[in-house]
Amino acid sequence: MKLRFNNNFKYIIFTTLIFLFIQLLSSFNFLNRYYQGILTIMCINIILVVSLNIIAGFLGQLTLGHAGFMAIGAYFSAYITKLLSNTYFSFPIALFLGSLMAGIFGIAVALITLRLKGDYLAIITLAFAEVVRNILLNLDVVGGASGYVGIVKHTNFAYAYLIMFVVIILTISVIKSKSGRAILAIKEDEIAASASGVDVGNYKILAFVFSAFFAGLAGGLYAHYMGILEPKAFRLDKSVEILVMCVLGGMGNLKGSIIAAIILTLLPELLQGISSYRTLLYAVVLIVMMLAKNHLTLKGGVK
Amino acid sequence: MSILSVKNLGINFGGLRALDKFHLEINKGELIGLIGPNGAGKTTVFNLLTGVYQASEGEIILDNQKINGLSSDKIARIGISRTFQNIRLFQNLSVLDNVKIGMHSKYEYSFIEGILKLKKYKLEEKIKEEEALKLLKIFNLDVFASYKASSLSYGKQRELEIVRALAGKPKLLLLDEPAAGMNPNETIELMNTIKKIQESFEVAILLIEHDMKLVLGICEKITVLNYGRVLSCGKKDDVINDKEVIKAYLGE
Repeated sequence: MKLRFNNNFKYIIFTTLIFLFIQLLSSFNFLNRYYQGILTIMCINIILVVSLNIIAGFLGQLTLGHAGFMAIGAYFSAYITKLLSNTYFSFPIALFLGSLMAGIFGIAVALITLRLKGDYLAIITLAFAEVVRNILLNLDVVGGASGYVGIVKHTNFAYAYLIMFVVIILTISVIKSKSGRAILAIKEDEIAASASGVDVGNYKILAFVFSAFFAGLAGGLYAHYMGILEPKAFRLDKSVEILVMCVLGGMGNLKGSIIAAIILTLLPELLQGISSYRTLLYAVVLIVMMLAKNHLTLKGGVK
Repeated sequence: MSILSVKNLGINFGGLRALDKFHLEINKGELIGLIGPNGAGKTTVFNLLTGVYQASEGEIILDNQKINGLSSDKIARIGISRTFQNIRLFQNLSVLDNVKIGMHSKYEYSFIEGILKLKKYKLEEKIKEEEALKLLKIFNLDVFASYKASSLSYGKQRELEIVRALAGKPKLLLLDEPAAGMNPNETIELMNTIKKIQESFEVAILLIEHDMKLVLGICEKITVLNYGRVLSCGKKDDVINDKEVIKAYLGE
């Protein structure tokens, strides 16, 4: 018990130090806007990968629709900020409402897919994301195909970092509570879980809601970072990109997937110098990382 | 006092009548054996009692409460725990976590209290962890508490499954072939364990088993199933001398 507390404490100090360090660097102009942008995107990606890990890693269900939840959060929060125009609290309120909307869709998807697993669940969630994207494509209120423009750029590194921190802490807390144990039990064996008194349906819904809520949060941050939203940013590629980070870091391994998110955000930027071979190299690096993964010390549960 | 009363239970799988007019009475603290040839419907009885299947007709009453139609998790919370014929542990979780999940419904802190790690969460997690360790200690499994369940030996895994079932403080414990795959020494050890459970946990036990030595050694009453019907039931000695039972097991 004491040890666990110490670990938490260490973790808080560690993350605060990183934050202060980065703030210091940027205040002395060591980090220009470009680097700060990459760091912000990195935080958003970490939120996404942690959120996907709740369904794919802990609940053990394969979903390919994470971009859909992200899109809902992004568009809805952008719509709200425009609605509230520029009051002081408009951004936090919009972020929250956007995530809430994504969470509600999470319940809907979970209810529909309650009895599905494996490939079937993947197909339904994939279809869900495509439906969302196509609706957005034809919704003139949010710009349709030409994009939703003129979103105020509220997101900065500090905001993204703080939210990322909270998301990670909350996820760890959920996993360490009885709810988390129930979710892990469902992944291991549904029948044995329900024979032990775990309400399988409820906990599946809970996992989906949490995951969708966080994905919506990431979407909201993304929208207010980019300043413009296009439906094509939320294609299957995006869902797969998040899933790749998740798989690379190890399903159900938060530490690993956070490291994977960091590496895979930096990689395309580092490869920019050799732009024509970029996608090719990206694939090669992915394969090498997959092969090397087993030798790294990325293994070992939620810590 | 009767803890479980099953009347006229039946289920069809398509055209197959898997169980017909099944009846069973279990009194508080009793140990009853359910035997029968392969395919007689023993595991079907377990699946009906625990809500995995829904009965076509009949009623199941646990402690004056009708439980047919309820889902597995509700029945588990009301008081029937079980083990499985082929071990179903949470293989990749620790031995301790397996037991804690068995206690799932006994945790009283709410979801929010769990996330925010309030005082109630910390207190309860601590109490329940001690409780789980105490339970493991009875079966000498406490030294393996932090091991992955899959790393235990076969016999220990069987025991852990029983511990997990007991963790939910059931009124009735269903054991589905606990001695399957065990050598004679392990079987004797298991017999003692089951006796010990019956005495110290004040729980009624219904036991499916093929090993007659074990069944005759510990059960007071026996119910024999054949082709989905109760062939004979009652006191141990009456049942094993029943002509019908001898015919089913040995032929004429």
